[in-house]
Amino acid sequence: MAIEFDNNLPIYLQIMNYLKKEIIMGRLKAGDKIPSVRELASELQINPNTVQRTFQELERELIVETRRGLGRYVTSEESKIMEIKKEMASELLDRFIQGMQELGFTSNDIITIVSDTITDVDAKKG
Amino acid sequence: MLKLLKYDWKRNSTLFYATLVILFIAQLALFVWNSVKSGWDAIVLGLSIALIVAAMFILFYQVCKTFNHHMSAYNRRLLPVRPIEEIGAVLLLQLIYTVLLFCVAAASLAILLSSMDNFSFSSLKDIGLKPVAVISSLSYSIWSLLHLLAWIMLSIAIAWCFRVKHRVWIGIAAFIIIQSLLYWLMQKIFGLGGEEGNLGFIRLEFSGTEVHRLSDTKVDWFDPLSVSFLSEIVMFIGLLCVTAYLMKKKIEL
Amino acid sequence: MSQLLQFQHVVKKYGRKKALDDVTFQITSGKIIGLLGSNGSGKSTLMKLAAGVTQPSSGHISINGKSVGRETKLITSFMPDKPLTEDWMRVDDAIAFHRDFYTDFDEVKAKEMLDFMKLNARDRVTTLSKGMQERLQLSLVLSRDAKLYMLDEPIGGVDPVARGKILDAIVEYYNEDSSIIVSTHLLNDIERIFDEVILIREGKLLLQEDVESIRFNRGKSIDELFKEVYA
Repeated sequence: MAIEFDNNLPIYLQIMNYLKKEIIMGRLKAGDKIPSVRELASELQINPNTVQRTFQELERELIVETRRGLGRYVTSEESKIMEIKKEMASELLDRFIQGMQELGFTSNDIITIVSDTITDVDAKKG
Repeated sequence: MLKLLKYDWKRNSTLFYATLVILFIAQLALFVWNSVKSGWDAIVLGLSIALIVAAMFILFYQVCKTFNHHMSAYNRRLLPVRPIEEIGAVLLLQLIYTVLLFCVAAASLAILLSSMDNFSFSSLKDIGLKPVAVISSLSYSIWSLLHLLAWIMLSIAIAWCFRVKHRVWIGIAAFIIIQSLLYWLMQKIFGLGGEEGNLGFIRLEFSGTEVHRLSDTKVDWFDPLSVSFLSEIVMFIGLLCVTAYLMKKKIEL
Repeated sequence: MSQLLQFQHVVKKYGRKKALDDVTFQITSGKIIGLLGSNGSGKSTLMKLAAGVTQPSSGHISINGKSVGRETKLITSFMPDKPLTEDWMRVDDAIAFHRDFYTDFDEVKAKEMLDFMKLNARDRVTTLSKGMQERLQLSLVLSRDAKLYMLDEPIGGVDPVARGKILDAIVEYYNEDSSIIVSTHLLNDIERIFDEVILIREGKLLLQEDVESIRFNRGKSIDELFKEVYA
């Protein structure tokens, strides 16, 4: 697990985002066991309390669940994972749209530009 | 305290063994020399004693250095031990060194004396060297050394209370000043003469090749209940207490 | 959570100079705390006072409610900037020394750490390189099951590999019943292991704050904050 940390932002948020991405992208599947606080803290060389806080937040958001005596696991609810995916997409979109509007693009412009850009990207890939 | 002693011993073990071995070899050399040459009795005896005294100095100096080291060494200052235990361990070390050295000295002197002309152990009794006198003199000299060590430890502790470059001089100054003051005080209170209270070593006088009568009028049989000895004990305890207090509260690194 | 370490209006004077000027703060257990300051700011003095190496000129220091002294030394493990070994010692002598005097010394842990740090038991302490000596010091200090650990500049002057191992060891040996105070002026690698930081300048306590709060509220890294404060 390799995370590039930005010391200017709260670390626990960065770990959360990282773990959420891993889950959405399927590298951490529904029902998978996640490393313990100690393991993760040791691996990333960060404060165990920070890791603890991350897990607590993830539990609060129902993304992660604790099974007594067994450890922490990614939720087995596929719908929840879908929800997170949409949330993260929504955050990205909000920022993108706001940014584009600041540059002066109208809503229609934005749709056109996105459409065109994606076509190009797909063409390059194909 | 014994644990502290263990490590003080280990710390100095190389020097201690080296000193004893060299002393032994030197005494052996003197013995051999004296067995083959005649007319060297007085000089050889003098040399033998000088070597023993030198060894005593070396070990005493090393003990003082050890105590001085403990004042500033972090691994010592962090130990959960009472200062009095540290002081006790150093005193014990000196005691053990002195006793062992005395044993080696006695053995080598006995062997050396037996190689001398006109000598027999029974003649020692004739010149007043009773076993009791010897033991009491030796005990007193061990006591005096420990007392001196207590003085030096206090001076070292005083020196370490000051965070200056040449604290060693403060220690020496403290030693001299307090010694003189107390000496003067003792004279005033107890009316002691100039000779008592010093290191009670046996004195031997020679002329030519014969060993003359011992001038041991000072310490023939020291009385544990004498005022001077009791006052020395009180002073000794006082010294240790003050040193322990300084170590606890006032040492600056 | 109990008050593990408490400083109350502590002043430490050397002659006329105040190394610590009216310092008051407390630390609870289960934290890794960064003690930050430039050289000469008073960090080492603060640690020495808590460790019982020297006494304050005025003010009061207590650990787990007890005044600093023989009893607190039993539960405090301090790694100073000077060696904790004597020149005649071999590595195993150093271990034996600590085992003999500290009841909370875990010899098994110590041997593990020696392996981890690649140190040999029969090596003479004087033949070890500076980096190896630092690792030995750290092993000795962290092998104790103490309540308060204090490390004075453990990563300064040490190569990046050793630095990584030291940070690993700190995270590894963290537990909820104890706290670790690490003093440093090098922040980049290490700031992620801190719960809180205490900033000291010229003997005065400037700030004591939760690290994530600083990032959240001020939008800065601790490194940046440090540079701002000490510029």
